[in-house]
Amino acid sequence: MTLSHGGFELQNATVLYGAVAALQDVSLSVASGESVALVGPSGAGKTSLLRLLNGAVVPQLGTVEVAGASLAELSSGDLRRLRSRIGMVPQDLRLVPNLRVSQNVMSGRLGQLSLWQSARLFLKPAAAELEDVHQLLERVGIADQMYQRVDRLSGGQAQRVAIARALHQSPRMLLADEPVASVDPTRAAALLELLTSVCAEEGLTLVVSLHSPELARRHFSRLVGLRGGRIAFDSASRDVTDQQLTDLYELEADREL
Amino acid sequence: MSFERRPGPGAGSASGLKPGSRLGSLGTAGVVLGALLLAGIWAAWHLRLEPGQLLPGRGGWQLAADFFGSALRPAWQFEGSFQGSGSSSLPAQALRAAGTTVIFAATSLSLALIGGLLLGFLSSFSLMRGRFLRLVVAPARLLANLLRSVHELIWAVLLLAAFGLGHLVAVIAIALPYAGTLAKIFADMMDEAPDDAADALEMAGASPVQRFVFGILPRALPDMTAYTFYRFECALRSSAVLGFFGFPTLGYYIAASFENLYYGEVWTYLYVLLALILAVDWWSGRLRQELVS
Repeated sequence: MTLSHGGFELQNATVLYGAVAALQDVSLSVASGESVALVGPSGAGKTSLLRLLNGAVVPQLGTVEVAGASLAELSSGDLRRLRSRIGMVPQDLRLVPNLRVSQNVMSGRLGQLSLWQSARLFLKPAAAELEDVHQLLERVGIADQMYQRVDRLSGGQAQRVAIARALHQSPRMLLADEPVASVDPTRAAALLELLTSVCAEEGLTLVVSLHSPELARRHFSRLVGLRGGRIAFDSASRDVTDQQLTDLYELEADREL
Repeated sequence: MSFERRPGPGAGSASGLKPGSRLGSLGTAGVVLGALLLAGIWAAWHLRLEPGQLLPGRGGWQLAADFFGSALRPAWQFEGSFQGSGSSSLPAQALRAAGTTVIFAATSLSLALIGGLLLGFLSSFSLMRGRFLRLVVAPARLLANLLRSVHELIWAVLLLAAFGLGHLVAVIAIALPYAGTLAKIFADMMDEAPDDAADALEMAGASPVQRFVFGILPRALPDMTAYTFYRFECALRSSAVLGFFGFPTLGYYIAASFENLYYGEVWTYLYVLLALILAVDWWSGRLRQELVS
């Protein structure tokens, strides 16, 4: 599937889980090739927003447009083809623990293969495929773990397998939910640097949710602050004031008291 | 979840009745245990069970003493002129019968495995997704339940009446209920496997079948393999018991020696059967370890 562009367009989207609104009347526009960080306290709706963007969650109200197509109007086949170009790094990684790193990375491409092609890929991968995977793993810094089982890896290593799997899709857009939650601060900076530089080099649209506003400000030029399922601010990083960030997180603390 | 699912020590022993984490489940367990106890007392009264029935009659003491005394003295040679099917020595005959037992069990189980996998896939909600495919699950589960609700000995009686004493009859008699059991347990294992990775693949555009094959199946496969080995152990016992119908497995020789009162021979065959089961258990244990680590 060739996509004319990789933009996202949310209009007045509301997501309810039972009676609880995870997102309320959220409108957001991300241009093709742009990098955006979603910040906010836990429970603010960052994950729900990311899940809207690849159709994992369907809004009760409002519309989601991806690459110019309204998700609600796509056939299941078209939705699958679109999803094969959207890389997603879930917060809980969602890898197959008893398969090798290489197999987990290769599984990112399933959406572009027939069942028989994918069976061959797993049983007897072509040399070119393995070379691709190796290069990707080198890029994320765990090439030496290529044939290790995923359940033998540290949290940070597994995190990078999930990133490699998403990149192996050759995506047009990349969504990452707290991609540095399980790595130490130095690694976190390096990993974000990697994500942003890969996306910049290849012109990918990147939407990342981050718990830490400091990291977000350092690595992203545009920040979207979420609070209680609503957008609190959406502006260039340099225009985001310390007061805005304090409000974003302090309100949550007050509510808990 | 079925009690049959986890092989190993304590598999059948009320794993559902362990003290729960909540007081509520403890209360439920108490009610169930009480009801079972009452049912047992009623059943004993209904069957007119008396401990006195266990006292052997005249000669019974002697027979019991002879039989269990022979446990320490298994025979190394034929105890009478009966030579079975012409083997030169008892150990040779016991080993040959053991070999036949294994062959019957292995043939039955490989047939059962094919049937169990096919029926298991059809019974699995994680593969049979979608509005129409879901409709297949209920009939597939019903078929699996029908197959396994008839014991292999009853299948053997039915098939013997229909086809006579052919080796295929024994193989099919075991394969039918085992296919049903494997299908049920396989489907449970596939449906209980964590589906988080499968969902991630779906979000990357994988088809429902790809989602299952690469996201679910790899996680269920170690359990499925271990369970198949456990069923192989069961198949060995079933195959031995089918010897009572005249198939040349260990059961045939056990019955023959027992009827001739050659208790030493009976124990020889029983020990060989025990060794077989232990060997399979050891083998499956090693394989399981390899799969898990």
